[in-house]
Amino acid sequence: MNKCRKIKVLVKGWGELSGCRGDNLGKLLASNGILPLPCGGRGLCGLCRVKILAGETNELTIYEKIHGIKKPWRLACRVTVYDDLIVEVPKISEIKPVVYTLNIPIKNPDPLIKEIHSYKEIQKETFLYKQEHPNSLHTLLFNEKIVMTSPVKVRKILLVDLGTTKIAYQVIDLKGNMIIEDVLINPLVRYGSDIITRMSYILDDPGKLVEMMNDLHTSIEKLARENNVCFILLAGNSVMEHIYLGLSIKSLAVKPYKPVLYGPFIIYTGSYPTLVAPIIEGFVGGDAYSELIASLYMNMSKPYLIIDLGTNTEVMLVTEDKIYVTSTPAGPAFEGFISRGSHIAFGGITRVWIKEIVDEKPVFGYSYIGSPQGLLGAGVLSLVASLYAKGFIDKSGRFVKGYANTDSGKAFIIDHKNNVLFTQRDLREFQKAYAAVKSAWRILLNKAGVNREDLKYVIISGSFGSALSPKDLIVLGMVPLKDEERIVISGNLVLLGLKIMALKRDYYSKYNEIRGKLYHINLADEPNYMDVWVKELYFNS
Amino acid sequence: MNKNVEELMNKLKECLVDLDKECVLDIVKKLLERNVSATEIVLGPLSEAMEEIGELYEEGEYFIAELMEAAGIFKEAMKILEPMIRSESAKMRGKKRMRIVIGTVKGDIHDIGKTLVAVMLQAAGHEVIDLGVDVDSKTFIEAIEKYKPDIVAMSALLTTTARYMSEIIRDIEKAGLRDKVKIIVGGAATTKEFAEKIGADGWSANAIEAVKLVNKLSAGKDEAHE
Repeated sequence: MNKCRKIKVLVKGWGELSGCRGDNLGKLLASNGILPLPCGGRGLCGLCRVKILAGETNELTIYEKIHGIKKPWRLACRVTVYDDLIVEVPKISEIKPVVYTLNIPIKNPDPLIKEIHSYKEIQKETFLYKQEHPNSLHTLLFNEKIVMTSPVKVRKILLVDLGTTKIAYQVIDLKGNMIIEDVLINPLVRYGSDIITRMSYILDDPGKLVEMMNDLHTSIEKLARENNVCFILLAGNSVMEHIYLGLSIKSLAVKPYKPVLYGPFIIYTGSYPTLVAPIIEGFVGGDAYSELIASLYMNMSKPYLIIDLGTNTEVMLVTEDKIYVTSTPAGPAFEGFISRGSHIAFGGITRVWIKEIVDEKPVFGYSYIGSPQGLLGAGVLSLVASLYAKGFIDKSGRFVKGYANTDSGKAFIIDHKNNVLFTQRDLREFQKAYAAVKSAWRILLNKAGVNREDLKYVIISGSFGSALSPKDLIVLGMVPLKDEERIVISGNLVLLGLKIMALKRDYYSKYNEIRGKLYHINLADEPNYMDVWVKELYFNS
Repeated sequence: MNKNVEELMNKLKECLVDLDKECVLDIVKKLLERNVSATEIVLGPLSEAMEEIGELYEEGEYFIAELMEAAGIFKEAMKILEPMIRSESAKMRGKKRMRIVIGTVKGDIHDIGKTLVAVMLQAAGHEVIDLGVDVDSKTFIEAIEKYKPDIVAMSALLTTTARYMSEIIRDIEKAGLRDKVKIIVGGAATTKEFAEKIGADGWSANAIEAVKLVNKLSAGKDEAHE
């Protein structure tokens, strides 16, 4: 063991940290909750920017040079502390990304839970209840079978969409009136912004599973307490649900990429009874199941396609008799892993357009939330669509005109002042994710024998999707339809699905029926997947 | 070399870089008619073109589809040239053909990156035995014993599966085969530091770098981490 030579890191506006000479600055800041490490401190996402005001560190690394970082700025995860430091950490803007949740009224609500006033009421039909139940607690009967206790009278329910990056939630009453809707950043971003990185942590140290589970429970319990709800309904992707339930993630992390259990699950979050939505298969989790429920309740004409664009993109094709589902990792390239990317936790550019063309070069306009320091996924997509529509890039994704030659190679400069640019290599990263999404729906349509033109609707769900315009998706050929009218940007469908499950008992009970119709496709197992994907790299193919 | 041949050689390189298959095959035939040796064609314009295509890929100018297409055209040309190269015997001097066993490691079924590396290595004139995906250490070891490769190449897309690489290297050591092969790793989940940590002989960021790495190893240089 090396002896620890104590050093001090003064974080402006925060306080002093102590560490050892040779410590990694990023880890030191992250472990104190000062700064998230979206890519888990691998130097890939370039988002843990800090300013070193004084003190001795290692030299700029290649990772930082790639990200265009210049002293005194550094990427905290690439900094080795050699001596006492004074550091400035940019304030993580308290951004509240807007949630656009379809607010469909629930006709004749028939809630999943019922309050019990006398034990006699339930003795006959119940197989589980607590005899020595403290008087202070309310008892609620869940789905006519299970009795649980809650510290609060049956009046309000908390719905939680536990996303990889964001936690979207709603508080509703038993009639379906929405009382509050908001979003917070998932506390697990400090273990990395993607689920694969988080799973690696757990594989390295199984104790991390409990740590992460506790982090999540603490956040959700706080929401429940603050909003005085009696019951929680929660859905997330398969990995987030496994972590929430404290289930082993091993079978999800390596082949066969299957969940340990499918659910639905009933547990307590603190003292609040919680129902966790069932997992469909593999990486198609309870969140996708909730979206499916929402679409079924809306009773849309079939066949239709649901695409939940995100870090992990789920695609579901609903036909009269079958439901085809698959998922594909797409997020890393949509968000963060480009040279001037950003992460929703920091804010960034959400939309880019070409204002005018001067000397055959595009001049860009943009809108942003928080700060315009980098491009968010929706910003990248709108940028690529406008470049392609105006012929600045060709079908294969090559920059053909109007670009600048920079130190990072060919690039379109979005904003000189803030040093926001988009390089040819960035576009290549985008194309990988773009092709993955197209391959997913292409393969589902093929399996089901459905022609793309016969689709009645394409539903783009998820908060990333909600920032997109159907026009851009059509220009790029990212969706199978070319008719704007039939492309539905639905916003968050997960919360709607949870609301339906909470208030329409029969929808919750449909689980086995729906499960019988599901047909899961593992894209990586498809023998021609690579050929399809390579073809889909072309725009509008 | 007469002027006409020189022009054709230049044109051949250009055509391959432009991914014009008909032109490539046409000029290859014309050059053979003019008694240019197959070895010269491969080591000259075709290799030069593949190198240039690699550079274009690294700049982002070309992408995966172009890379695959170029490798496909190269393979077509090789179908004509290969038999002659064999009869021209040991003229492929200075360019040792390496035998490489490649696979995506256990737990990981991601095929694209690994296949791309295999295709580019073949296009660079090496012999590649592709073990596919989800390959465990037993399969790697059996392949080493059976094919006696110069190099074992391992790929992983997921950080959750990359950890298995060190286990494979340990098992190869235990089987007493470690000094028989060079081991190189790659894939989105790996880094140069990771490769060093697990005791691999080299790492590359992408298919183009992988070709450079293998060429370097074949030239017998020790410093393969680049």
